Amino acid sequence: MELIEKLGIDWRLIIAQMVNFLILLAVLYKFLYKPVLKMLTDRTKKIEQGIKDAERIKDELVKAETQKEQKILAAKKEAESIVLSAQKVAEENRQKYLAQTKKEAQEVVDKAKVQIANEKEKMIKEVRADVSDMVAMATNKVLEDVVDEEVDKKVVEHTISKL
Amino acid sequence: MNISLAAEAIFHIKTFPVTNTLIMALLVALFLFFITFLLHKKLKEVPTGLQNIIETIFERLMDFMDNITQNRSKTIIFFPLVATIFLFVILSNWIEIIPGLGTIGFYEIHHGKEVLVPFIRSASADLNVTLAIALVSVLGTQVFGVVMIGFVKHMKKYVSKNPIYSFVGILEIFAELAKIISFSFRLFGNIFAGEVLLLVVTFLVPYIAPLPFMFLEIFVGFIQALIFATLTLVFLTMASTEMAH
Repeated sequence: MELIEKLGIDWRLIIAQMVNFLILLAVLYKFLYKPVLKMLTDRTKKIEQGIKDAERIKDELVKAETQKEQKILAAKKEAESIVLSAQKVAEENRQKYLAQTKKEAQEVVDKAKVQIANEKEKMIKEVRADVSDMVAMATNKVLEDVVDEEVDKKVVEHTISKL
Repeated sequence: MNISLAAEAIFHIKTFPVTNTLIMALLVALFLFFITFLLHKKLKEVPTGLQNIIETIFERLMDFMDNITQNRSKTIIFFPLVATIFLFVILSNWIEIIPGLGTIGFYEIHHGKEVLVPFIRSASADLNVTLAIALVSVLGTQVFGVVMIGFVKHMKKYVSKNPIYSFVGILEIFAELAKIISFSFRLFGNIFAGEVLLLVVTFLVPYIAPLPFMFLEIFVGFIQALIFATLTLVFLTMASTEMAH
């Protein structure tokens, strides 16, 4: 008992201190711990959400990037193929036109040749006729009165055909 | 110089002694109320100033508690009690750093002798205070034990049909009492000794010499608060875990 008195232990003081402490605990719980902890957890959640969102956005960006590249690649390929086919078509067309042109030119040349040949023949015929006439006339002049006309003509024609 | 183990009564309300430690404890509580009031008014999503300090303290404390509970949800349940003990005890301990400790007061005739009744005395240097917190801690452990694992399971720790376990149960009851004693006397002893040390050193060499001891006392005050809070947390964790048998 003396020890308790020496140490100053007083149950009323203990109760008072306990009440003091419990009130402190209650007030701090209500106005400090609860709101601050709530804020901390809320912020943690928010940050986690933010990080998650950022990661998702990054993923999507990468995806979009690859998609873009793929699309560009496909477009390039397509363009190449279009150009190739265009070149092919152009080449074909060129060949076709070239061939046609050649054919036409050949035709023209052929026609011209034929015409020239015809003209030549005609001319030769005409010349022959003229020459035979002239020769006949000349012969006629020379052999006037010696041979009749019929004979004369026959002779001339015979001579000319021998030429 | 007068060193008294018991806290000195400044005045009496009828027969109730209003001791200097009671006033100091109230001041500590008021200080914490004030901080809470300041913070509560302007709690923001993006922390600034005071909120940063409080949040840092809380987060450090929670991380430290996680090491013991191994469970965040338990940490959050125990946090208010443990944090309040920590804050109250550390502030009570640090009162001894305030200049004027044990020297500013008034003289009173006590048992025929003129003794100084100081106004400032660490709240923790009074067994009534440490006993009160120890009781809150131990009773809190019991309450949390009942709430978290159920009354019957909790009581099985103390009462059992099995003779060996019933003997262990009796030991457990004594252990609870021992906890109160060890909690209260450890804190009281450390802080009271610190006060006496500071008082004596200041009395012997008033300048410079008390400084290292003041740093030491700041450290001791922190360590004792941490020990008190940590042990409470350990007992809480143990009480909230079912006995494996």
